Amino acid sequence: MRGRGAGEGVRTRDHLANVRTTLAWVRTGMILMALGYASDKTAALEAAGSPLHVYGRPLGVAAAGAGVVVAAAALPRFLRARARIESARFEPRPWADLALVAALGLGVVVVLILLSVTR
Amino acid sequence: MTAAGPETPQPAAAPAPTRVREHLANERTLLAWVRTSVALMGLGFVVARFGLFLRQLALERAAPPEPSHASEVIGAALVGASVVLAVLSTIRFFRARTQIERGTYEPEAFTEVLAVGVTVLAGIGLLGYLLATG
Repeated sequence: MRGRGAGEGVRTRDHLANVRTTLAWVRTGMILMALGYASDKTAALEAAGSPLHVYGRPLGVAAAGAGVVVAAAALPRFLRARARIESARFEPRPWADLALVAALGLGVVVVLILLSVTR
Repeated sequence: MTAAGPETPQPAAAPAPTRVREHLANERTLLAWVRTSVALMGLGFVVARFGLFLRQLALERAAPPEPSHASEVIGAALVGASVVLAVLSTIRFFRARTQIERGTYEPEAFTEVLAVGVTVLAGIGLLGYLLATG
């Protein structure tokens, strides 16, 4: 019986949940890109010598790059989960998620420190 | 429970017990698509308008303006792609709805691959643009 042995309905919901998870990853990537773009572009407007002027550009490029990586990582994750749902043996892989959350947490700390020392 | 009277007719074929949850999941998925589309639209809008704003600022400061219209082009492309994604996912929603009613749901990948592809391409274009401009 398909769908983790619980029937067609569970299989359908598993697939739909997989699509939503993929979209959440893509959105996360988009937000990082937008953040990086804004950081890079506002850095030039800050007074020369201020931390944001100095670090805003590399931070922005790094955030946009991280956004690309996050969005790109969503596709293999989606296809793998899709195949696993069909074979009814889904194995969660939390390491990529944990690495992302750790990296984002680190980034937030860096940004907060940067903002607290600005001006 | 008493036997069903004429006021409570039974459907010809009993629906799957998960039918309601399947439809609600399908609806949540459509909403997730709409949110993604709106986010892409917002990203495109910000990229396009902010580039314009910087050009204006450079003119007012009599500084050399932003070298290219890359911002506007990338931004407009993102807004266009977001509309395409919204249309495709709505078509997909109605197809999935029919499939759920029939109990023959088939997973697809085209729109998802397109969404990731568009986002990654836009991100690479944005990165190149950020690195190329001062």
